Amino acid sequence: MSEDEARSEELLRRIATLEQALARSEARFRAFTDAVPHHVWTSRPDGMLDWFNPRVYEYSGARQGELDGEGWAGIVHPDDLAAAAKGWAEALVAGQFYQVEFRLRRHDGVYRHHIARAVPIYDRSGTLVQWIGTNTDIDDQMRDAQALRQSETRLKLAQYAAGIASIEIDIEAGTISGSEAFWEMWGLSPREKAPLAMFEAMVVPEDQHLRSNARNRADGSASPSAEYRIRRGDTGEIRWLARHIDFTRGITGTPTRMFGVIQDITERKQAEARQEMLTHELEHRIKNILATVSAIASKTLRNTDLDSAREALAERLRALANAHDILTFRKWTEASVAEVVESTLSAFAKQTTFTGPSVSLDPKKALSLALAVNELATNAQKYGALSVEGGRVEVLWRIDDEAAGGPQFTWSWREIGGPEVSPPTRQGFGTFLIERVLASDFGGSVRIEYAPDGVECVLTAPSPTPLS
Amino acid sequence: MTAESRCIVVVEDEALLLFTIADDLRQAGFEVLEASDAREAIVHLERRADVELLFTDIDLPGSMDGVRLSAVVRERWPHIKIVVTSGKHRPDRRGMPEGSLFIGKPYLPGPLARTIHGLLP
Repeated sequence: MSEDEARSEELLRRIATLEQALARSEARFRAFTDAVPHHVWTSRPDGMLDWFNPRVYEYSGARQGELDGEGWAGIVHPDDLAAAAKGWAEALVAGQFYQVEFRLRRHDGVYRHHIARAVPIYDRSGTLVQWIGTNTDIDDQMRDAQALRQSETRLKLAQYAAGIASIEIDIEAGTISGSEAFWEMWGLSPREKAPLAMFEAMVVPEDQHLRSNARNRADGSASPSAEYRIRRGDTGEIRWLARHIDFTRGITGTPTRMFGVIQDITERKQAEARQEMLTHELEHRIKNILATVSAIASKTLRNTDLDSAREALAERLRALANAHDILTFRKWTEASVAEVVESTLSAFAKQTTFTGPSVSLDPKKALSLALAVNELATNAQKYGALSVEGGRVEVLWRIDDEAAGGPQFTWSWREIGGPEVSPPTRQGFGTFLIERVLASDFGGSVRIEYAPDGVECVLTAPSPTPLS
Repeated sequence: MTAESRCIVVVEDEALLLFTIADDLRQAGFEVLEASDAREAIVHLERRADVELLFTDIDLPGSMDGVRLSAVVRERWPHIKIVVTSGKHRPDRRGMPEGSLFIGKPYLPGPLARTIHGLLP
């Protein structure tokens, strides 16, 4: 064997060895790419893809060769394609690591998010010979991350809507941190954390025993729920807070942290107080009404037969109820003279006229005037102008601003066209009510004249100015 | 009304209630001085030395309510008996003047007159 022959043989053997090594390497690569759950692909240096592992075909449902060259673009979501192609073109020019996110169409038409990465392979002489790439399905992670973001946003919104802030306390360090709403609640500028002592000092002295303290935090016996008042850091305003906490414990069971929520409940506390006040007020009002009814009944039943008394009492209670209706409608603040007169005289609307400016009465005066008008109307119906068809009643009132001693209120009742009037023989409830109660409640005087051509009643009093 | 009719002051800001109970007590034989607030009551007491009893509502308009009026009366006219009334709850012991009696609203004129008779020597 010549030297040349021997060299040639040696060369062939080395080539064979290299080919075997290459084949083994190739087989290993294929075995590996068959086993991984990822998509794996290769590309020529010019960016034309030339091989895909079985995962790609399983996923996309594409036939062999269908994705080769630029065919892969066919399974990329149209909206993501421009960015993916641009990134790939730039990587090809630079010959450097490429990474892009895009959605790839599955065989059933569903697009799932993937992250694609590719690395260039260089030979010994530094020539780019191939690209190896992978696509990793990140759809579930993205969904989870989005769900988490949404959940966090929802929690934030719920806390915001409910006026709830979250807090966390480091027991050993004696510091507290919280959400933005937490700092706002205490009237402080947001910061990462602050010493608990600063907050403890803001709890009002009367409620100091209600908050947690160093001892019951350390041994974990602090009450899970507490309500106390604080003086806000910025405005100095007193606010009610409710906080609910739980402990986190270390391996030995020692409390290490407290976490929980805190809420401004001032409005609720105020509503509770209002409710209590209203209950008392209602009780007072009912007792007062009963006392009034009792006084009316007592006066009505005196010196009269039971049948007349029954009718008179019913009339008087009806007048009282009417006045209450008006006052309830006005939330017990005031009622106008016109309202009281109109409501009490509604049964005689055709025979009565009333004229006067807008004058407001406090509840006491309104009730008193309603009862007085009822007495006048009842009397007129029995003996006066309302007992005959042609009779009528004129109710007039005015405010005289020029009167000596301040604005004066004059209210008058005049009967016209009734039968001839004769003065009553005895002082009944009507006279009592008009001459004494009405005059007293208005702080003025009342004159009743039994003129032959019709009863006239005039109330003169300082202008009623109800407390608003 | 007899020559020995006893003089009492009734304080009530609701005119209807004031005049009704005043008339009822007059019929029961008392001489009644009417007042619609604490100030008017004190005017009566300063003018008349023979007032023997004060019957007052607790809720009165103005700066002095029935409890404060009672305290003033207890101090200035210690011999005068005091009966207080209210539509609200009975005040606790500390809120009531010493030796005073509480009657809730609404009250009946008959029993009230008998109670007052019983308090006077």
